[in-house]
Amino acid sequence: MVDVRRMPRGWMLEKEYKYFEDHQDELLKQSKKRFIVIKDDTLVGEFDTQIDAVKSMVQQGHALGTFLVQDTSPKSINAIKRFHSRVYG
Amino acid sequence: MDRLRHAFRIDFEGIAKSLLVPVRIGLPSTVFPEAKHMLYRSIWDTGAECSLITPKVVQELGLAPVSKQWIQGYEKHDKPQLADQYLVDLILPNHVMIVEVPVACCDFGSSPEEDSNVLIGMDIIMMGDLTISNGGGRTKFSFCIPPHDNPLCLVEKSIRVNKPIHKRMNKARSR
Repeated sequence: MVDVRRMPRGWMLEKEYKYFEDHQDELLKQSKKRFIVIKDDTLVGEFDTQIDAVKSMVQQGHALGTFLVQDTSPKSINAIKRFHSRVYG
Repeated sequence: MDRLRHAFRIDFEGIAKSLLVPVRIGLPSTVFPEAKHMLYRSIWDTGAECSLITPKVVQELGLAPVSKQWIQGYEKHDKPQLADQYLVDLILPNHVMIVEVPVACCDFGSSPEEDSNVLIGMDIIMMGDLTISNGGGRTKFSFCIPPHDNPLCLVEKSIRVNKPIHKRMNKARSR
């Protein structure tokens, strides 16, 4: 199990997310399901839901924080969640 | 089909500046059946598109991210930032568990008085009905999940309350 308490914030999944960004077009063409799983620099699975992806990876012995579950729906890719009220200027 | 509604109410001491509600957070029990849920104070924020947790929650629960999420507008720089995204179960004060909620991690600027480490956004609020009332100088906050088919309408209620008042006023004018 990865001990996140010992890791600097933002350290995990950097490599996987960069791989997704760099190969976004080909990954989107390749995948038939909404959620893809990337580990290191490899596409390791496709799932209909985020929780199915997490469940499957954990059951295979992969620790949380070692694989990226990326939503590939057009609405979700690069979508920004906004916070209107708790803004400190 | 009739469905049970699950509601809770928080009565604040005076007029509340923030809606602070105790919630429990933990790893998704569908994946980790033995997961512990810890108690945190949450801020309910209708201006937030999604829910957040602070790094303190991540550390205390030993969470690890499952994805990344762009977030914007939570701090002075006001530029989109890529945050870690976690999957958690969220337990409301009425023991309703909302499972597998994706939450982003960031410091959202809770004041020392608020001492809050969870921000409940519209992703949760949209699952039910929410009321805030401030009568008698005390804030009352309630939330019901799932939403009612006949939601409270303050316009209709105000028309009902105003009707006899208007009647009396018109009577007084005609004298």
